[in-house]
Amino acid sequence: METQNKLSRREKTNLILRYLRGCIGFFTVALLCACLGMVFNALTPQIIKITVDSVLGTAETELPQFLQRWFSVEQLRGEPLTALWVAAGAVLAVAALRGLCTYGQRVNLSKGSETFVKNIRDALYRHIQYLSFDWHTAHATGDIIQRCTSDVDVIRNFVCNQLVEVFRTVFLIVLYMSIMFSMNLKLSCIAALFIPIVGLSSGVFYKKISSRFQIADEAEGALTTCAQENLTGVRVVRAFGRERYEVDRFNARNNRFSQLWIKLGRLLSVYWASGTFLTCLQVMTIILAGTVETVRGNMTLGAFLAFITYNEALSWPVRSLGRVLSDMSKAGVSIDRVGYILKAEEESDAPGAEEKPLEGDIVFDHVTFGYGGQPVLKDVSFTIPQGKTFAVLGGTGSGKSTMVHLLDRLYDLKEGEGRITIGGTDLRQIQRKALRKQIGLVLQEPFLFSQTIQENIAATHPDATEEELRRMTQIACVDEAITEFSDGYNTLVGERGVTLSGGQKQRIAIARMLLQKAPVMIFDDSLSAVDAETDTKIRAALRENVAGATVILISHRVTTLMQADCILVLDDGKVADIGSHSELISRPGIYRDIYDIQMSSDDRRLIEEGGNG
Amino acid sequence: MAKKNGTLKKVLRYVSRYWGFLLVSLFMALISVALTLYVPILVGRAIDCAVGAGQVDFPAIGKILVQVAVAVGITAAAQWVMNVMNNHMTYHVVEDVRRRAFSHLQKLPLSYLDSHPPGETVSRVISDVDQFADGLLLGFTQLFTGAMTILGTLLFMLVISPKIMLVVVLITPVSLLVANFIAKRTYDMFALQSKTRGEQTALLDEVIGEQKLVQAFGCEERMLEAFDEVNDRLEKCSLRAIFFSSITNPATRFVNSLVYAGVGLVGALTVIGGGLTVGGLVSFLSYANQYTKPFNEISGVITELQNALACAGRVFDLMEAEPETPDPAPVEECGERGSVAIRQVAFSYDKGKKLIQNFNLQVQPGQRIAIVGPTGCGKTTLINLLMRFYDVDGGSITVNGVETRKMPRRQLRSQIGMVLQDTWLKSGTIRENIAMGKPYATQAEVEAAAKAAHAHSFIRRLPQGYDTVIGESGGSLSQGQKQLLCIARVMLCLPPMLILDEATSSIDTRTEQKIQAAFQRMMEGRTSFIVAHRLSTIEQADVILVMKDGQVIEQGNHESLLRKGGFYAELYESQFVQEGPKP
Repeated sequence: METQNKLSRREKTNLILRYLRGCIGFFTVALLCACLGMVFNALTPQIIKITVDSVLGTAETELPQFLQRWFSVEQLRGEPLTALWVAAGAVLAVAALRGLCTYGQRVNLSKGSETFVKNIRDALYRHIQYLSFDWHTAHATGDIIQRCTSDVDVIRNFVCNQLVEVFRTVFLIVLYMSIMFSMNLKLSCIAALFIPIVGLSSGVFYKKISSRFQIADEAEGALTTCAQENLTGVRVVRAFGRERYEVDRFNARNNRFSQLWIKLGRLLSVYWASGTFLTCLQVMTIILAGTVETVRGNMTLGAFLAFITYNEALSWPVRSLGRVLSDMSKAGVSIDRVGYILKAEEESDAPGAEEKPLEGDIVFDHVTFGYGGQPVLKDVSFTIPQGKTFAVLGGTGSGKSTMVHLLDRLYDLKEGEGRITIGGTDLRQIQRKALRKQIGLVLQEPFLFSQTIQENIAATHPDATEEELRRMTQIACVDEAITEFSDGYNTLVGERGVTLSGGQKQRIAIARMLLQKAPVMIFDDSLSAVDAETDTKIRAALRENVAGATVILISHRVTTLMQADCILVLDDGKVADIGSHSELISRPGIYRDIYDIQMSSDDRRLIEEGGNG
Repeated sequence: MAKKNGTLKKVLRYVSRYWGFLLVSLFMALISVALTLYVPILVGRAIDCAVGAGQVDFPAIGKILVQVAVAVGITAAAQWVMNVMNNHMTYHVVEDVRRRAFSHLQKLPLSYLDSHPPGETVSRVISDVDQFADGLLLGFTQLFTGAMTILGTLLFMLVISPKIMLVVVLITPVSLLVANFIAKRTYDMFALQSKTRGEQTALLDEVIGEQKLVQAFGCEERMLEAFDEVNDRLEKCSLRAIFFSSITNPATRFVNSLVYAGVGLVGALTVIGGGLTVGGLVSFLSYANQYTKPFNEISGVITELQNALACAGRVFDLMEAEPETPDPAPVEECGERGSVAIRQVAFSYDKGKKLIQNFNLQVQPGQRIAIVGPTGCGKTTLINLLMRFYDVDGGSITVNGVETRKMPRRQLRSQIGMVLQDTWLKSGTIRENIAMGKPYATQAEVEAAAKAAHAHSFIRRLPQGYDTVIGESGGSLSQGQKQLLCIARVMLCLPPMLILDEATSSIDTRTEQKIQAAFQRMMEGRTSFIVAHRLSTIEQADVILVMKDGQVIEQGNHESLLRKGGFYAELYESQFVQEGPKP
């Protein structure tokens, strides 16, 4: 996964723009509202300034043009009460308008960001559904999920909070600074001097500290793993009397975690305190310089008060700007990670692929296949006759599962790797969907979705009738077990529902596959967790009910294998032998060895007796 | 409510261990609040020095400004110390709580742990404590300083002008009401939102994790529909949450402006009337501003604190779950090593549903006991009782002549070696895993055990041999290899009794042969209980326990049981005769 081809800046921008479609409107309105809000915000000090200067002040002052239409300074000074009421009303009116703008900004921003995230998530999810299985095996599930959740959140934060915040802050600085410059040049220069210092120092600090945050997060991960392991292995821990040791191990990690946070906290407090100090220093300097200016008559008292208000209003956004800017660098990595998924190629059918029923023998014709250059199947050729039971025996890593994956086209053979045909048609010429619909698959480790049992079984055939469903569960010998649950077929499976035993899961998976009514059925060691009695029952029921279908059985149990019409012995990716049970038993080889190991002489006697009786 | 108070008390008990830090922190908060509030007064005075007459008292202003600088410096320092103290305190409390919780976990009976999914318990120890820490830190820093700021500003305003203060106080309830009203609704909406988000992640997890299945069954579209449905729901409740959360900020700020305008109006009138200087008004306005701020924050902090208390409550629930009965002092074993006597044992997991009743069994040292029965017949129950993971409800189990309840669990468990089907390996090296029951074993001992378990050859082939680090739950090892490691682990301790679980899961024949050979070797001369699937094991057993629906329904040896013609005979017929033996 780390062989990441990084996206260029332009590609990144394009990627974001693509998913911004449909929410640009929201963002534009949000930004407009934000700007308007800030303008209203900037009005309050002006109102105060005018009020102070005209009502309280004694110096010469002039009202702005538009106000002169209604009032004159003399009039205001004559009736201070009216003037104050008007001022208070204006402050409130401005506040109300500003409130409206803030509301508009937030609502639109959130709507935009929800739409944006929904766009990306939808696209990702949709895309992932159609990525080849090959791709899925090459990438860890946890990693993919993280990309779909936390990385998307990082991008959302980048677009909807950080970018907007930067825009807002820059606008605020420009707006306030220009007002301030229009009021007093000297003071504004002093105020402006502090902006880069405060902004830069917080940016540098956050950049430094972010790696420490990551280390602390990892320490928490280690803590979680430790607790999780202890709980899943509680019986072993107690059987060996290792409680003390486990506690020590946990405490070491616990202590490390706390120490890391304490250190982080120390750094953060230094930062906050020094930031506060810097800001206060700036405010003080401005007040000092402002007083001097006012006294010298370069500024009215009202203007001085307004100036201080503007200056103070700037200090916080500037501080957070540094943090936001340093945080933004993280987004680049996340965009890369999400873009990587979106760029992966979807599974597609070859042009002219058909949707034909699977009929005829399945032929593996000189198939060589492997993962990452390591061949697993080496020049394998054999035929699976239609309507027969075909068994496969082989040790770990002999290529059994790979064979199944190829047959279901979870992987595709490339040029020069041989071919697999069904009834003479190359597998690659059949539409994947049509193919998979006609191949029923039960895996060794069955997985059930967290839905009801009914929904799980009907996954392949959503409109199956109740009777059909129950017939399949009866064949799979699981009907009785299901009806014993308090909610029967509507019992929820998984974390929020009941925990099923391995055998129950396997049997439900078998029922699910049976409902698919596929002409080709593959059992990949799928009765391993079922006890022998039930195993026998299921196989007997299967024999009666799936006549006509091609059945492929993968198993280690000779007793299972020996009933097949034809048995393939795979060894180290090659066909070691193929033939019926009696043929294979008659000649030396892996099959006979295993038969000898698994069956003691007594067992054989029993079979013979059983067969006779 | 009573429970909430109880939780709070317990939290305070943990915090009180660090009362030194707490005192310093409170003191620093007091200083920083007091000085922060004092600064506007100084500034007001400075302004008065300038506008009082046409003339300006520069030396006085200079003096005041120096005072301001000192005050600001001290405030910053006090805040720094306060934050450091709070942080120290919080994370020490977190460490203490986690340490206690984890130790308690080791003492909890299996009945508790079996009925609570591990994920949930882990999240109590980890994420609940995290949220609790966040709340605690926030509470220390914001709630306290907030409350002090409110009191302080009121006091200062009272000194400057009681009349204006009255205006401020009268508007306060409005601010509180608005904040409360909105916070409550927002909280509900956010709770719904995060629940839906959780659902979405779970779905994502499942579908991506099991992509093979989704593709094999061709149900991509149906999965997309399911996802779209959750996504739509999420969007809807997000939008509702947005509405309320967007209103919060403008609404509270409007209330602030209300206060500000009110103070300004009354203040200016007072100035004109000569009751207040301009500087005084400026200070006052600044107080009015500072006074309203904590109100906005406090409603948020209180929600956060409630959440923190709820989390703390969950952690305490775990820590107060009834632990196992205390262990008695170690006892002298009087009987023969390896003898087991089970007398009239009664047991059930659920009091309403009787399981094992009047179960008797006498085992001589070195005997083999096979446990057979169909899937789900309750074979693990016997293991639970023998290892005393669960206590019997009636009757007694005696091992080596001592009743198991009369000896420490450790003593009992050290007598029994256990190899279960679901192997458990912890992340660490192979050596650590083998030496689990005997941490100070020498390399030679470890190797000897591995050899006896037929594990040595595959371990040697691993890149770092015995020092190879295996990941969580065994990582890349095959099922069979994991089982061999578990056998080696027991081989190293060589206890006089064994509990073995024969594998049904698919292990290739050669490896399974090795496991069988290792089992045989281990069982020599040891009392062994075997959950058996192989005919040969069953036939060789001295006693066969036949279990069905959680109960022992028959016992005896192979021949006697066959002669009896009961369930065992039936089982034997169907399982081994008609279909041939099960390997």
